[in-house]
Amino acid sequence: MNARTSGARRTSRQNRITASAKTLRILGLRHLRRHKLRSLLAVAALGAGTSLAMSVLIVTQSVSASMTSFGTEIAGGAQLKVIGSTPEGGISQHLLTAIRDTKGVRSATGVVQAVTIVQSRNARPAVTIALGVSCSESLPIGLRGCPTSLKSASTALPSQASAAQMPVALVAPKLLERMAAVGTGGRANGNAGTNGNAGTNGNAGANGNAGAGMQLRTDVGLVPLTGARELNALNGIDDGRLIILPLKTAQRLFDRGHSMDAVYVTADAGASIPKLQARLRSAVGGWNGVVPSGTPPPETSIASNAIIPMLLVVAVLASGIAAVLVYNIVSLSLEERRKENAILAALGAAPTTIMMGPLAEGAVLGAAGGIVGSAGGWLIAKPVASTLSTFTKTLAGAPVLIHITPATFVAGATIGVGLGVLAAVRPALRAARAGIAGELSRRDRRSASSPLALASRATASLVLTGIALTGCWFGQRHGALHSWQPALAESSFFVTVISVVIATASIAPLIMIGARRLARGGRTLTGLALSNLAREPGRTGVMAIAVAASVGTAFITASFNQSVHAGLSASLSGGGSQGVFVATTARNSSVTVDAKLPAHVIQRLARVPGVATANAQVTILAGHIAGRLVEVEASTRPVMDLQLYAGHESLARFNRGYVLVGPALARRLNLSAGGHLRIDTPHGYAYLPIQGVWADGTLVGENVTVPMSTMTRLWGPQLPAVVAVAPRPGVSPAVLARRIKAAHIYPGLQVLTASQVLRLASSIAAGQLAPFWTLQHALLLVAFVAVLTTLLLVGVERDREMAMLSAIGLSPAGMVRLVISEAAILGLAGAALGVALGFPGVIALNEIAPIFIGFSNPLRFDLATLAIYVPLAIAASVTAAVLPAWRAMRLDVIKAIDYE
Amino acid sequence: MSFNTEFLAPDILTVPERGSPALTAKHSTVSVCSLTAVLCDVREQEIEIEQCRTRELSCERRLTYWRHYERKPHRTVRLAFESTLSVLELHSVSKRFHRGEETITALDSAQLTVRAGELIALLGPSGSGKSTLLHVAGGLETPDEGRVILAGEDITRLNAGQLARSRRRHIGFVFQFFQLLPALTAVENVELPLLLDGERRPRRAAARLLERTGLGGREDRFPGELSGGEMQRVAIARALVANPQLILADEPTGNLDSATGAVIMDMLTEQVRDTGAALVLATHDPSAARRADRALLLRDGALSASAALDA
Ligand SMILES: Nc1ncnc2c1ncn2[C@@H]1O[C@H](COP(=O)(O)OP(=O)(O)O)[C@@H](O)[C@H]1O
Ligand SMILES: [Mg+2]
Repeated sequence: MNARTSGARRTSRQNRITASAKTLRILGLRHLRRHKLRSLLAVAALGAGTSLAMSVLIVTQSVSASMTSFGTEIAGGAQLKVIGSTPEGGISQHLLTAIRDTKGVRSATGVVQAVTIVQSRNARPAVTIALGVSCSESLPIGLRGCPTSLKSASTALPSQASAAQMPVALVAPKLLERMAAVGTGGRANGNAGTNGNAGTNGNAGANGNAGAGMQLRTDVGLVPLTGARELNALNGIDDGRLIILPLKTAQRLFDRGHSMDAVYVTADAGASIPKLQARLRSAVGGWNGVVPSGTPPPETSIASNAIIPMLLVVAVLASGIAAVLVYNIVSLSLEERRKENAILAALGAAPTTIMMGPLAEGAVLGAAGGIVGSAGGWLIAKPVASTLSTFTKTLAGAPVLIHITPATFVAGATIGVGLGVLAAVRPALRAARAGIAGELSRRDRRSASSPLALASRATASLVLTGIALTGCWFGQRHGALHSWQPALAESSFFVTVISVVIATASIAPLIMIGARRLARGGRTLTGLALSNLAREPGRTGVMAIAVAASVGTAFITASFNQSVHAGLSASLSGGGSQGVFVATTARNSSVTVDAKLPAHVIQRLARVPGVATANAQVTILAGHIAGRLVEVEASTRPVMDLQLYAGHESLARFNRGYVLVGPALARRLNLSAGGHLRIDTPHGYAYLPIQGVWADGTLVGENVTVPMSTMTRLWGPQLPAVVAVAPRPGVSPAVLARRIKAAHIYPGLQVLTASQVLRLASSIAAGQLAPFWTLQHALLLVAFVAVLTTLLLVGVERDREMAMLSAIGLSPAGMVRLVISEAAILGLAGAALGVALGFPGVIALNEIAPIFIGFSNPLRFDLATLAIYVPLAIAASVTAAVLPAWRAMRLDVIKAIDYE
Repeated sequence: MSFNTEFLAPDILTVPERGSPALTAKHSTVSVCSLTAVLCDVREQEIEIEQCRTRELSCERRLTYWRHYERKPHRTVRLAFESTLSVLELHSVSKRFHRGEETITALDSAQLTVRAGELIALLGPSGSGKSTLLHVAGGLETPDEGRVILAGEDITRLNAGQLARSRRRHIGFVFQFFQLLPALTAVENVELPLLLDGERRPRRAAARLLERTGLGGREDRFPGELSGGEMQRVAIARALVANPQLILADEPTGNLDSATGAVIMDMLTEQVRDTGAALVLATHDPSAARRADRALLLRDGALSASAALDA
């Protein structure tokens, strides 16, 4: 019991909090200020780690904001939008009537929203939207009233692709300006479709004839835009990349028949929008969608789905590595403060107060790192968004613009604080539990993990790696058709990565211990360096992780790239498609603009000498919900050239009307051979009998291949986007390609050999791997930072030891060599582990990849990459030692020995 | 029954003799939580005896009075009360360390009572267990056996948080190697115990104490810029600042030259006497024993009364 008045010092809780805050401020923050370099490095590490996570956030947010603002701009004053069962021509005249007849609808405007390319002699071709609207209705895109220019459009429509017949079009002055600009490089002939010179003779921009020299790619060929009228209001939409055509013209040019793509609905004044939405839903049927008018086109989700999951994987990995690094920095800085914490404890600081220090430090570093990471994320997001933008533009005409708000930075800071605090928890707990008396009297240094403990940890983590690899294998087996498989595969992949990291952390010090035994009696400095590395397994482990991660990531990424390339080339050379591919644009076949090959092209192709067969490939998208679109594929000469996961490999059965579904679709809808696929068509739901599930990676596996007869029956006759032409025996693909080009069948026709297609497809696939390379470069930096911080911090603690060495005769140069050789040995071991443990990583990624990309690839190990990245990582590690070495060299011996 | 008078508000320089009538409590109430105390208002170091009032104070009451006076910085309250309680009691405390196969008995059934205001010198050669005794007494180390009663509370039963609070309120440490925080200035080091105990503005008290230990004008120096003697002055000020009942000093002059050491030792004992706290001073310097009320000898962990006192 206390008989002292000092008990009266107990002040209110609030006072206590203020006081602790002050303690924290003067202690914690002063540390940050005193150790500027270390704080800076921690912020850099966190920034690097969070930037990838932030880039995912920024990209996702930018896509959604861009698409929504685009959708809203087009919608004008309409409140609701009806989307058909397919984005192209999914709405019939009949349906439009049904919509108009719905109670509460004031007006309903059917539009064609075609995505195509506008080109001119002087400028690079631009993807634009061709919006077909009818003047008898109120217009979307916020145009007030029907522009007189459009009203006067003649009803006489071009009957064939011919230069003489031009549509009346409204274009943005900005677009005109851009297309009239004289490109510095002259006309880019090799570029997609710029070599169309047929039908144009106008001098660009001459005598007020807007649109002179500009051509629009359509399903009926290149259509000149001579005579187009300017409309200033269009400047605001995607920088003027929108052309308005009379509805009938658009239907004609883009093979829509009498159908439309979407209907914008304006409600009666005072009508309840949700109620109207419900009424419309029952009026149009479940295979059509009724959504708020600003909803982005569902196709835009395809682009994000192709890239964001991969990016997310990378982001999670990067954040994990950042957390490890910050953990290292925080625990090292605490190591330095063990004594100080003991003093605080002796003065009566509660364990929680002592814990608050590192936690607050972690939080502050985290917040700063998160803000840096937001800026970094913005830098990374830019190229990713522009890649996505090319996708979304070809899919829906909408570009992705980077959207950054203050909230982005707040989110970044929050993620950073989370990571920073997470990393500080264990060091903080350790600090709070440390023995005070022993610390004050310099006893009680914790004993290092024994080699035995390290070995058992290494063994356990390697066994875990094996188990996780098995999990990956089970997760992808037979196309991962079971709904539990992707989850197993993904979690197994993460476990693989984590166990490999743990293995690195325990094997690296073991290597040092082993090497020290071997080096006994060898060169003193090397032995000393090895002893230092062996003595602190935790630190050695963290540095090794950092080095190994950068090497391993390069190895995994490059190998995966090779696998994809091998997979693509196998699929292109197999199945008898050893020929040339003909299309209107040189993009990959699954994402095309609206300009398809006119019917006469196929007939003329067949007549080119040396052509054996011409296989026209038709694709359409079915569905109206973002993320649930299905690509329907058909070809005039179907082949069963892909691996079958389940079902029958019978072409005869297929030709009788059965269909083959892609793995992701099968998984999502739990489909199997013998069942039926319900698919949305303009006439309602169709039920297609399933023949099997096969490894078709189109639309990341969300696809169905149907006989051409089924395609025509359900969706009407379709124009092909690509025709695969097979040569007669004795004619090489290259010769055939030359002959087709020489035949001048169609302006702007792209003729590509299989190897050219492969190159294109590979470059697209490589583009999707770009985030991995970004991660890799970030990791090199991280390795540098990790080695630098560790050696610097360890250096402070080791001053006494260095001084002792100096006192017994180690020269300053010797000290430098000691520090550098430590880093070099570490770099070597880390890189070796990165390679060794990269193998399981390569295998794991290759196993789970089909779930992300829709098809599986042969396993490849790109050892050549190692020739670059192993030396690079070692160099990073050695470079990082320069500053610590310099510090060691300048050490004041007397002071260090005297130093209390 | 002996009387021990303790004084709070150590910032009053002139402390009357212990037991001076105006400040002594009536001994009729001995209960710990309801004390009879004399409260005096003090202005400019002059005690206005007329203003002294005798109060029966419960624990809560004391608190209120203290706060009440604290709010008037020109006045200081002097609170005196009777205490027959010991500040520290060690009951058969043993502490052993294991070093490989070897077991070291650092404390062997140590028995000790320290009364309020008492100055005890703890003598013994190096390795005899002096530091261990102080660590156990201060709750930095838990004994293997025995009980440690600090300010009436068995601290061997406390958890880490309670232990920390008990240290904060009742104990000031002075170490051989000063143990100042290098990141903090002298005055910040001194105010740290108050900050840890939730005081919002401890600067004045800390600065005044530094002044008294002879470091006026050097408040804003960092430890690295101070001499050994100066650092120990800071450490002593830090130990005293929260008005602890017990100062545990572990060879405070062990790292100083003998001249500085003597000055520091004088300063320490003087300051401790001024505040009325008890002091346990571990040293192997027998001359320190002369300043003490009692001297004890530790040998291989066993305590005995020292003959040095008589010398
Ligand atoms: N944490 C500890 N671990 C092992 N032995 C210790 C520890 N602390 C003290 N000792 C041992 O206990 C004995 C008493 O030590 P100590 O109390 O420091 O003596 P003194 O302060 O009198 O020099 C010594 O033999 C010392 O080596
Ligand atoms: Mg000692």
